[in-house]
Amino acid sequence: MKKSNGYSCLSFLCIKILIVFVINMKTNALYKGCLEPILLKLLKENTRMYGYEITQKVKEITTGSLVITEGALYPLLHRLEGEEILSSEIEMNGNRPRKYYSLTAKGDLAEVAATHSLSDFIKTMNLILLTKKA
Amino acid sequence: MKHELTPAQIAYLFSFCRKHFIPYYDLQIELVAHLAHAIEHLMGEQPQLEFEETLAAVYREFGATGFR
Repeated sequence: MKKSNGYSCLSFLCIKILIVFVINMKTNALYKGCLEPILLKLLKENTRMYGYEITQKVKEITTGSLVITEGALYPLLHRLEGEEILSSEIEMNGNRPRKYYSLTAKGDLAEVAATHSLSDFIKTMNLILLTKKA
Repeated sequence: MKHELTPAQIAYLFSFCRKHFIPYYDLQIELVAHLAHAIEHLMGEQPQLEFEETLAAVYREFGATGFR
């Protein structure tokens, strides 16, 4: 009997961990499409930033709700640099070099477009979520 | 308390990137800066941590495929 209680406690714990994992995964999937507008907006407001600074800034603004993973951020930065939406410069900082990113003129336009798209998306989602049954 | 990595530790991070198949210098710069910041942050918060174990913990944040 004691053993069976142990097993049920363990399976309850496993289910709880799984639920938390699924919720986090779903939240992250929702944020994923928003990463580009977030990044462009941050660069517009801060003029120039480096990778680690971007991850920390997002964590700070969202009080930890949104964590940009390194695996998502750097490929995005490199793609946007390739598309000439971002430009970069390398500067020495203390005992090591640091790569800063900033918006190009094309990036300024992309930021406005991306912010509008995100804002429209939020409005549409609100229409669905806030519409009351007649 | 702010912890600052030594030039030898920064050089170690560059060689760590090369060992993990990052041949491009500009990409190495970016990854070294990221690793160094995260390591300094953790070691500043927990001064008992060793450099190499902190590097391993920070590298795990890149996910199962590492830098790839």
